[in-house]
Amino acid sequence: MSEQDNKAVVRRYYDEVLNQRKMDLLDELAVEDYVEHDPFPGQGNGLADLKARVAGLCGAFNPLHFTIEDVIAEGDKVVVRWTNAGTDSGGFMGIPATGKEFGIAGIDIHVVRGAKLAEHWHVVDQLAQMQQLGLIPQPEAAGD
Amino acid sequence: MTIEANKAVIRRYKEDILNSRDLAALDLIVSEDYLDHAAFPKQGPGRAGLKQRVAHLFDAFDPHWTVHDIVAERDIVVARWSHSGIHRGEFLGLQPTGREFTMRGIDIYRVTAGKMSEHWNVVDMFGLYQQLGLLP
Repeated sequence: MSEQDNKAVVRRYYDEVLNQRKMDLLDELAVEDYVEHDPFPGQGNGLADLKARVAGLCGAFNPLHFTIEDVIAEGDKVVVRWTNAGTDSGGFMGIPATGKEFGIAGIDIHVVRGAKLAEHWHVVDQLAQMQQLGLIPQPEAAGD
Repeated sequence: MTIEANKAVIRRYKEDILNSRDLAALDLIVSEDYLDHAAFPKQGPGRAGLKQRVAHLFDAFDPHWTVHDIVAERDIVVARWSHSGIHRGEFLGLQPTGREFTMRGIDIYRVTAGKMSEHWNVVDMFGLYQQLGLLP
């Protein structure tokens, strides 16, 4: 697989699995022994847990839309810098839904093997999300 | 510049220059009109602003950076890193807590003719706040 092919696989994850909520497509797009380095609480490795992660996101936030801002690929790695926009419609990680909108940034690093997502790391601006949802006070700090 | 040369610039920045607090060396590897898309509040423009930014981090956290992964394509270099430190000084208005922490981030740089010229990042501020005891 070329780096361009790997980018195409990763784009389908955001465009189709996340934005169009085609969770079953993960059977085609991710390996059975998927390795997650930045799990959600309770998430283990493997395709079933990846599906549960995506289902959790889609269940918590509807609508939720990811915009791919940049894609960088080398070897079997594909990096995606994204922003999202969503509404906290269902509540997340045990916190009741606030009904509020949010928009945050994140950077994902995927490993693609044999045209499938195989491994993942990320950093997401969860603090900004919690602040936008009113779950954490806006620090005087950040504003000044 | 090859992508390997560009990666070497970023490794030098994170692991050598930042860890040794060698602000003067930034003149060699950062373009004067460095554009920071992830600027701190009140960070000035360009290389001078980057120097203020890292000096603030040194004073606030005495951090030590470790680069865990590097991915590069064309003139772009991605670095996944963590730094460990102690919150010993004011940070963006947060009064020092004295607590130790390890913080994660992923930075994306554009490297132009051997110099860092543009920057985006996402850092785990939530994890930092948790470790500093600042979350309810």
